Amino acid sequence: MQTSNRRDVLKASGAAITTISLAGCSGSGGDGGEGGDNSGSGGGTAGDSGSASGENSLDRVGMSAYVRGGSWITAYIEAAEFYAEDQGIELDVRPNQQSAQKQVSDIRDFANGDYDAILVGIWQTGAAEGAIDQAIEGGTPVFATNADTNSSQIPLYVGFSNYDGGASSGEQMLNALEQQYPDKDTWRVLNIRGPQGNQSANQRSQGFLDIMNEQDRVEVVRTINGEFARDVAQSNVQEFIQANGRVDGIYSGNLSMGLGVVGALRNLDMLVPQGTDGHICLTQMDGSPEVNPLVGEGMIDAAVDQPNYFYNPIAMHYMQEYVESGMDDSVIPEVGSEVTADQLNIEPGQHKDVEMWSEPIWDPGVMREQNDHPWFRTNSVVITQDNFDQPFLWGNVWG
Amino acid sequence: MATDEESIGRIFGDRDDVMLTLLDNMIWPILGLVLVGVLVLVPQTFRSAELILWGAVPIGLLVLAESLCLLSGHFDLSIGSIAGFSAIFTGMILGTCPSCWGLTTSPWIGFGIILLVGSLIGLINGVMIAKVGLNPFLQTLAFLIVFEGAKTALQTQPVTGLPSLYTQVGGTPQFAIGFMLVAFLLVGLVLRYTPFGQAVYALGSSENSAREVGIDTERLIIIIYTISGTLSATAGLMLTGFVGVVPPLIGEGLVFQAFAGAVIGGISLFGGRGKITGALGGVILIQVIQSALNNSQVIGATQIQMINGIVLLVAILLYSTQSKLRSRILASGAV
Repeated sequence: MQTSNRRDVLKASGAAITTISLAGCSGSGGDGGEGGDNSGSGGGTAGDSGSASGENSLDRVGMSAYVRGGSWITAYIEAAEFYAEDQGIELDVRPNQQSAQKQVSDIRDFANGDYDAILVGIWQTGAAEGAIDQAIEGGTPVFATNADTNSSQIPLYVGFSNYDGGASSGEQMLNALEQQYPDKDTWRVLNIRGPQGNQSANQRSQGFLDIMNEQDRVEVVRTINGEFARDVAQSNVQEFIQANGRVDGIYSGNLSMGLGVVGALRNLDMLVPQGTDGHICLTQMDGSPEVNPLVGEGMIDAAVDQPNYFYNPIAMHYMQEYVESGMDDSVIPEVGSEVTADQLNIEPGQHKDVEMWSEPIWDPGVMREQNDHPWFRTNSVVITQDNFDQPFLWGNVWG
Repeated sequence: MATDEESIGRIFGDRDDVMLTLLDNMIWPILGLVLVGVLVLVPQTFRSAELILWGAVPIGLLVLAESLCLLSGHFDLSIGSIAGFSAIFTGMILGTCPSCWGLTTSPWIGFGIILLVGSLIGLINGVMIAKVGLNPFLQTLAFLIVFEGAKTALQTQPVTGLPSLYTQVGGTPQFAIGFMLVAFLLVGLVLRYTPFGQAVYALGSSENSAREVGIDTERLIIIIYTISGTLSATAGLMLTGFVGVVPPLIGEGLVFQAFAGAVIGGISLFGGRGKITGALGGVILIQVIQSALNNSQVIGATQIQMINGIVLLVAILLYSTQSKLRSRILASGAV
C-alpha cells in the first residue's frame, strides 16, 4: 500500500538519522529536512526518554482543537492537559476558533516549531489534510482524536464511532419503548439531528435510523434539524409536538439538543419519569452534568456517553511510544485487533477530586481502519438509572 | 371639463398613493399569502401559533435593534454577541453553578446589570463610530469577535441556578410575546411621531442633509447604538428565559437571522426607508416558514436551510422590484 511505503520511507529516514547520529557523524547528513526534528544532539538510544528535549522523547506536543463552549469539550481538553502534566509533557493547546484555516495555520506552526508531535481534533474533515501530511513528511507525527482527518498518513486516530453511538441509542430507545408501551402496535418516534453537512451529525442520525428502520413497530414520524443547539431543538420540538400531537419517543444526536428536548417537554407539561403514564421515552448521545441527574430521575431513559476524557490520554500514550521508538508503526495495535485494559494502562492521576482514568470505560478498544489509517475505536458507556451517579462518567466530574 | 380633469388627476393621484402604500407595506400581503399557503399545505402548524411567536421573541428583539441601525443608514454586526455576552456575564453574577461568581441572587439587580452591560457596549459602539469615525462594519465586526470570544473566556459550560423570576421573563410565553409586541409598538410610534424618529430617517436618507438641518448626527448615532445594545441585551434575557439556563454559545449566528428578518420586512439596507411594523412582519414570516418546514412531510430536515435562503432571495428580489416601481411612480407623479 502507498501508505505503508510512505511510512517505510519515513521510518527509514528516521533510522538513518539515528544511525548517523549514533555514529557521531551529525551535521553532515543533508537529509533534506526529513526527520529533522529527530536530529538532536543527544546521542541517546531510541526509547531513552530520560533527558529533557532528548532525541526520540516526547517533551512538547502541540494541540489544535475546538475549545469553545460546553462542558463536553472542556472535559476533553482538560483531560489532555492533566495527562500531559502527569507525564511531564508540555502541551500547548490552541483553539481552532471554528475555522479550518486557523487549524491549518496552527498545524503548520507546530510543524515548523520545536514540537515533538501534534495532536488534533479536526474541525473540518478534509480541510487540514494537506497541512497534516506536510507535518508528517517533515518528521512531526500527527495523531487525531475525537474528529478524524482524511489524511492516510497519521499513525492513529482515537475516538468512538458516531454511527455505533446512534445505533446504540436506537437500541436503548427500543428497550425503553418496550417497557413503557408494551401493548402498542406502533411506536411514533422523533429523530432530532445535528447540522446538515456535519459528519458526526449524519452518522449519529443514520445509526439511529438504521436500527429504527429494522423494526416494524416503529414509525419515525419526522427528522428535525436541531442544529446541535439547545434553543433550536427546544423551539422546534415543542412546536412540532403541539402541531402534530405527542410521540412515544425522541432521540437527540447530542447533549445540547437532548436538554432542549427536555425543556420542550417541560414547557408542554409532558415531562414525567419513566414508568409513569404519558412518559415520552428519551434517548440521546452524551451525558453531562445536567443530563446525568435527569437520567437518575427517569426523565431521560438512556444516554450513550463517550469516554471523552480518555481520547487524548490514549493518543498521547501511543504517541509517546511512537516517538520514542523512532516512529515505529508496530507500536500501534494492529487493525482488526482488540485492545483491553490489560494491554493498555492509562495511569490514573488525582485530578478534580477524583482518581481520573481509574475506570477504563473505553475498554474494549477495537482497532479499525478509517481513511486508510488505524482507528482506535473506543467503547461507549450507556448511562441509565443504574449508573448515572458513578464517578467514571465525565459529567459527574466536570460539573 | 376642468372639474373632470381634476377628478381624473385626483383618481390617478390616489391610485399612485394606494400603490405606494401597498409597496411600502408589501410584507403584509406576502405574509397573508404565506399564511394561506401554510394553512392549506401544513395546517397543523397553526396549532402551535403561540409557541411560534414565543420562539420568535429573541430574534424579534434583535431584528428591532438591527432595523433601528439600518434605518439610520448604519448597521450592527455585534447584536448577537452583545445578547450572548450580556446574558453570560449576568448569568455568572446570578448563577449558582460551581464556576459561577454567585454575587447576588436578586433578579432585579440581574435585570439592571444585563441592560447596563448591553447599553454600555452599544454606547461604546456608537462613540467609536460617531466620535472616533470608525467604519460601522469594522467596529461592530470587531465587537462581534471580541464579545463572542469574551463569552467563552468567561464560561465554557452552561450557566445554571438562575433566580426563577429572572428566567420567567423570557420563560413565560404570554409575557415574552407581549413584551416583544410592545417593544415593536413603542419603537414604531417613536420613529413615526417624534422628532427623534424623524431624525433617524433623515440620518438614514442623507447624513449631510441631516446635519445641515441642525440634527446632531454624532449624538444621534451614539443614541441609536446604545438603544441597539439595550435591545440586544433584552434579547439575551429573553433567550435565557426561553432555555432556562445560559448555554455557552448563546446568541451565536443570530445576527444573520436578524438581518434576514429586517430585510424581508422591508427595511432598506441603504437607510432611510422601511417601517418597524414591516420588520415585525418579517420576523413572523421567518418563524412561520421555519415551523411549517419542520412540520412538513415533504421537506426533509436537511433541505430547510436551503429553502430559508431561497425565501430571503425572493424577498430581496421583491424589494428590488418594489424599489424600481416606487421610483417609476414617483417620477410619473413629478411629471
